[in-house]
Amino acid sequence: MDIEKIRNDFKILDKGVIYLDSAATSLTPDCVVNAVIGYYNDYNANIERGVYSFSQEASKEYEEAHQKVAHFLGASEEEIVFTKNCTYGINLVANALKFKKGDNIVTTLLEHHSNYLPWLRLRDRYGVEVKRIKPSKEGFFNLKDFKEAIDSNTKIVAVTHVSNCLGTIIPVFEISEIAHKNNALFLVDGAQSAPHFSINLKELGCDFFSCSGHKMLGPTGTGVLYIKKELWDKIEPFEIGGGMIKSVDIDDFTTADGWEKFEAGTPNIAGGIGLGAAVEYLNKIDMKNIEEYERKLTIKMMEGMKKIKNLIILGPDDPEKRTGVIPFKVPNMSPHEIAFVLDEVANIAIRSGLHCCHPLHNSVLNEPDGTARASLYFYNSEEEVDIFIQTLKEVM
Amino acid sequence: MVKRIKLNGEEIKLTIKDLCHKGDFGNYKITIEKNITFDLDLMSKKLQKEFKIDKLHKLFMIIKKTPISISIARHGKIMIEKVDPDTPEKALEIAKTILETIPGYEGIV
Ligand SMILES: Cc1ncc(COP(=O)(O)O)c(C=O)c1O
Repeated sequence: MDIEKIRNDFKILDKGVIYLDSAATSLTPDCVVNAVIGYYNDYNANIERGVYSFSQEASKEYEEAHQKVAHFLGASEEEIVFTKNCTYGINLVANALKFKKGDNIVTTLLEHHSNYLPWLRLRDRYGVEVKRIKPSKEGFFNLKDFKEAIDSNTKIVAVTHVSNCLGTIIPVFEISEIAHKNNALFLVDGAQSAPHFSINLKELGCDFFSCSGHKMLGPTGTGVLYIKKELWDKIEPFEIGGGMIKSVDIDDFTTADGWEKFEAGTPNIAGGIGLGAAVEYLNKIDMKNIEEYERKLTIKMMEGMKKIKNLIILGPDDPEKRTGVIPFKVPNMSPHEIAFVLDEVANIAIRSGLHCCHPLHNSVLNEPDGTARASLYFYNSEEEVDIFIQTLKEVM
Repeated sequence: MVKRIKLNGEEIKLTIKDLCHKGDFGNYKITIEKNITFDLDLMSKKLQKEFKIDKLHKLFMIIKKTPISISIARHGKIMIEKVDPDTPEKALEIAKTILETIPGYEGIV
């Protein structure tokens, strides 16, 4: 992988920022920006409606974007719904399923609020029980806890693939087996996995997989929800209207098949096309190369940080069990102070605070002020990691 | 929240933006929307009566008065943590003490 060449594809890097907040949103390469501009400048039209060529071209590009994302995730085109973000995809599922009193939902205390609050609301709405599995401080689970919690009344199990706070990779396939043995559905929050390693949804064992397009080089306002083909009939779209029907008469309607059923109204056409360009770019670099390079950078960063006296890294110590999301704390400086100072001193962008995981920080980590979090992506360089370590030493 | 301050006779935008926090206290970042360079040495001298100077670096300074912690960056940025009550107005009130140490500061418009 030629990092210098890759870095040249990201115009924003000319500004000299050391961007270590890709877990929040990734930078956008020129090819994605150009795909968005191309839509607006060359064939701006609504999709699936017009006979004229611009509309045909826009429809073709938008459909092809679904194909590209499907190929990227190992799914079929019809199974890939474009959303506005990962949160939307999870809410779509939570609102599409039917629950009754006595049902239960199993999730965990490791989750981002986006994969936690939609389930809590169902508890309040329908009186279903929400069981929450507690991870260790490193973000690991004991599968026995899932075996005990999931039963014949479990409607859905919703678990993150990678923790956005600790970087821990969760063995979701094993959890899916427990869920399916009990006839429960299984949803994976892939916001922090899809951008960083190769995903094959056919092999992952999930029924739903939601991720953010904007964390994997796509434009903001993009996300993806995979809905397994066998479930299309069982779940109702919670938004209905234009663009998602097969037929309508004065009293009735039938919905379209596949992703169209879940994309009511005019979608984010430019964003979707941009997302198609993003996954094409990722495929060209190859997710295997990205994973390998990020692991190397993660090891370098962790080794450098470990040499800083009194700095504490949270999450797994074993780089094979984590991604390049590296939370840390230093004595006598709050997470926000660290982030503020790194920005001022060396134009380094990191995240600080509770990372939308209040239950984890309060009930598991016992870190009420949260952590500082550096998160890597394949466009980061070893030199940037060196500057980050050096600056940390200087300001602590 | 966006306010305006007067500095050497000129009106300048001041943005007050809340940061991630847990709920009991607020954390805010206040930015002077103009190229400005603080004289941190001078500011620390003026503020040391009221605050403990926790860190003084050529590019930033961290000062504390329990439970409040204020980080000041040389390029016109101020971050205030543990603002109670958690309102931008309270953050601005605390920030006034810092703004008053800037030569030429004439107040909030
Ligand atoms: C694990 C996880 N889930 C969900 C989300 C929400 O993603 P989005 O902002 O795209 O809705 C995030 C965002 O940081 C995340 O890290």
